[in-house]
Amino acid sequence: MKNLLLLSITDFKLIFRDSSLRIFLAMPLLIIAMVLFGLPALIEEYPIVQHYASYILMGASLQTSTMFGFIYSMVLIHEKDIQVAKVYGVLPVSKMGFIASRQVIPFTLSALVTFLLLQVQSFYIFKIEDAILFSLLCGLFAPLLSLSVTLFSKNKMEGMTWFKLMNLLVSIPLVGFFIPCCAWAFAIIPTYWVFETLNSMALGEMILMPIIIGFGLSIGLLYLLIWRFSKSHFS
Amino acid sequence: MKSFITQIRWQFVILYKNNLIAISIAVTAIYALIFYLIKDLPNVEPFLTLLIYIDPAIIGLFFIGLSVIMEHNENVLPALFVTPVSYHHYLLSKIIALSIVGWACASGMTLAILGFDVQWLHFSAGVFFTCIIFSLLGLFVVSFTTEFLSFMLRSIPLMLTFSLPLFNYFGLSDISLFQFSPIQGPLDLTVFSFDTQTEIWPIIWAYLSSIIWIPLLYFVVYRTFVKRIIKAS
Repeated sequence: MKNLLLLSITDFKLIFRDSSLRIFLAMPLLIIAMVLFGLPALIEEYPIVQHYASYILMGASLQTSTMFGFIYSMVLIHEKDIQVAKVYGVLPVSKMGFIASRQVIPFTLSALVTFLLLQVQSFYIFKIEDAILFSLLCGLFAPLLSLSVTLFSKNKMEGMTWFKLMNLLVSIPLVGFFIPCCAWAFAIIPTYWVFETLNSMALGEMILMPIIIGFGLSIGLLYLLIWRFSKSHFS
Repeated sequence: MKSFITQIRWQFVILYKNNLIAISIAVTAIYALIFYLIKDLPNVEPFLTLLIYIDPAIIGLFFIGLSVIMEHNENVLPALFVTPVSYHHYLLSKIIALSIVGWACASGMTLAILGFDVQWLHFSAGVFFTCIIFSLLGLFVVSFTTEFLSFMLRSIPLMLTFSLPLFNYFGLSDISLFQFSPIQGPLDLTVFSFDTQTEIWPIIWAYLSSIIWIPLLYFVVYRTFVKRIIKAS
């Protein structure tokens, strides 16, 4: 366990070797700044935007995880490119544990930034326990995205292509709010439950059902991805 | 001409091998489904215009840059340019292949929401010109960095800067200077393609603006690319 934790921290330090990746780490702060300053200014100018504030918040919450997912997928694809992944494969640690440990930091950072976003926004007052649960659920999408993009891609160009598709897939359940008749069609996508959770929070309703289903789907999918990743990434 | 067509065909092979074509079809199908579902909502046209603008822009800007970065990193460029392949053919084949992909994606989205009730000449010109301008922008950025993330970081602010005329389109600003920006012509052509009532002069101005800007940008990009990438590799 101690070894895995150490690996996770060392892995995170890799980001700081690359100045470009460091700048990407600041992107979520830009999203917070836009929600904190840009959105209220927009609402002041165009009051109709107020009706869409919760949807904008949903998109913004998920984009922080998407950003960390993107950074880590590029790190993982790069190590495939330069054959370092094969070297990791001979380390005396469990492969699944190793992969999971490397996802701890993107998950934690995404969850923290999402929590911060919910605290600084001025449109809703959320219960602290709901905000924590929602942030943890959102945070899971950083590992989900980074693992899925890396799994399907042979190089960075393919990675970018897959990322475009994945980003669309995770955002698409937002459409359900505009066509309530077909909203359930998106329930198979885990982010549907993320958006449902935030919607319930904004309406002051119980979040038990969406959060449980959201965690169930996301953790199940994450387990599958880690398992599949452990079979392919190191060979 | 034969060598140019061969180059374009090879570019499609590269795009196909990198799954860009398959995934673009999937993305277009998803967008088409979304548009089909929301087509009865009021004011969906601006949303369609935004996506029709963004998708070819992303395809042009990022994918041309990435393909050059990959070829540069794998030392394909020095090998390629000792052959009699013309630099113009190399650049134009990439731009045209990506523009065709961008046009096909945009057409799929538009068909889903508006059917055939679109002025296809203006629409195709608008989307093609958008894709060409952003591909040129991608080539310009990649001339200064062949490191993937650095390319991405430089591309995003440039893409936003070039997209400033969208503020006028959405009524968030009314800055007449944007009329002279490279992307205003293609954006107008896309917007006009949904409207049969547009007067002739704005259409002529949109074509004229694109026809002036694109060769000008190509000239600058070609010189920069040859100097910084081809001669340096």
